Amino acid sequence: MEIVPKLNSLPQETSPEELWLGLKSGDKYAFEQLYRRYVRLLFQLGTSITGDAEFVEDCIQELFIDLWRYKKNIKPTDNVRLYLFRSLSNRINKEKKKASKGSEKQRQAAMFFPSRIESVEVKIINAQREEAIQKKVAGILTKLPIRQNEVIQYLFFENLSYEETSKLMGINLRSVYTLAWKALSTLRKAILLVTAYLTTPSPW
Amino acid sequence: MSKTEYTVEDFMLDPEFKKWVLAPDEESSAFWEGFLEKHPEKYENMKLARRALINLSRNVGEISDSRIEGIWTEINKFINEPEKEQAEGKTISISSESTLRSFADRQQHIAYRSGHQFYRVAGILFLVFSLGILFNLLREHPEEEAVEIPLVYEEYSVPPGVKSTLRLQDGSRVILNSGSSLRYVKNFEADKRELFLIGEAYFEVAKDSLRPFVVKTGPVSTKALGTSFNITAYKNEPLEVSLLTGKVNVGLKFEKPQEVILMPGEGLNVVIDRQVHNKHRIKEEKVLAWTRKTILFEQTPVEEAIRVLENWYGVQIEVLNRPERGVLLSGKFVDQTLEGVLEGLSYSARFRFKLDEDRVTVKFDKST
Repeated sequence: MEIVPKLNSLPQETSPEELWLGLKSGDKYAFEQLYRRYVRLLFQLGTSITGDAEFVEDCIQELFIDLWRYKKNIKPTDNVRLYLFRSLSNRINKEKKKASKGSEKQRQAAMFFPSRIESVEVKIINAQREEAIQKKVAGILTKLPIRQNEVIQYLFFENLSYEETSKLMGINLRSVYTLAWKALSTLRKAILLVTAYLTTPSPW
Repeated sequence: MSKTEYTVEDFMLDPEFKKWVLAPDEESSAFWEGFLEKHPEKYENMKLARRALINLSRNVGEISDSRIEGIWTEINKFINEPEKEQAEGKTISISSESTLRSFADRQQHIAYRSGHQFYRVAGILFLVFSLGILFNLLREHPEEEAVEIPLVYEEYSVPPGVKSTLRLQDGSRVILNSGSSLRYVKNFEADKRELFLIGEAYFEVAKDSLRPFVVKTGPVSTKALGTSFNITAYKNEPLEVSLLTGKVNVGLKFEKPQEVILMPGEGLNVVIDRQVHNKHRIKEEKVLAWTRKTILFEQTPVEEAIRVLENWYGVQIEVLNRPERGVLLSGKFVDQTLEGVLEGLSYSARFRFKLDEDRVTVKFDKST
């Protein structure tokens, strides 16, 4: 007998960790719930890193198929989101490495998909955001090397700690810091350039 | 590292500093104000770090509900696969007849083992015969099923201001331009892939020689086997089919039905209400500009340009002092704001414009 609660009977309040256990024991319903709960988050993260919606969709699809295929071997986790982010990140990095090695068909530049610009924190009231800069920064982020882009996503947008980021990316704390520093340095230079270009006085 | 040695990047990476900028409380304010007092030379760096933090932005994609369902369908197929195989393995006996036959086969089998040449030959013949019948029974089965499936239509619509890429069940890819809609039988029928389009779309058709790919736009239907082509079919505008690769066959259901074959690099312009059409060379750059975030006007009449801009940006444009002699507009704009485009056009076309949310007024100078 399974120790897992009957998920069908429970309302939406089932925690992700319980759903995870459900998946491990082969509960299709729990698996579908996991998919529905995380697909948007994963898509947002993936497109922010790669700027390529179709590629990310493929990655997500394969990620979930593999989850089901290897469900018996998945480890229990107290942080499903982190686990899924890590799986997605591994997959993206693996695929991109493959693509850059084999000089076969280069993927076409990312096609259109509905998107929006999202800033770090929405709560600050009188912070004067500058649309031109934001657009520029968002654009540069996707042009950074993937690992640099990733570290910014985790630290600033997904609000993960340095420890979580280091675990997720499989590198030590020092490397997380160095990687983020490099990325910010590029971004900062771009911001300065845009600022010089705009004539509006800088707010402070 | 001491905070006095901080670069702009280090400030940004300091969780305490980030908290002060994004969600300040008394404690953090007191700390950083004190720090600034003691180290005024850090003012510039802190200012830049704050500004960069506030404006740190990313471009996040929004996945549509239909794509969520689409991906789930694929995953679901996989989940249910092993069980299906098992089920098929068990249910071989289709009818009492086949059961009897297989019993007879077994009898023949025994006879075969007994070693008599006659039974051996008869057994083989009978086996071949019954397999033939079995094969026929199995083959007819899926055909019956296909007829019973009710036609479920799937429809994708994209509002003005938005574009969308979709992958069809057969592997074909479609990019839908703003203000367009595409309707088709879910998973397509067994013998054809038929789609109904209003607006503009670019198709990359997956090869499937058994099921031709047909896009219907009113009386015009474009048939392809495996190609890439673009169709513009907005209401009240000439229809345009442009072929990039492969071969398509365009059928015109006019009073005198006609068929036109297009080769790569050819385009067909159809004025439906006048029932006329003409073939011409196309430029790929121009045809596919919209899929590359590019607006391209080449001697484009004002009316058409306005329609393109309204649809592209999801706005209403009002034109004042419309010049009597038609004005033609030219210009190329990559990933530009509406303001940028209007500004670029305004000099050569001599107009002034005003933006007010999603209402735009374009006023031509009297002298033109």
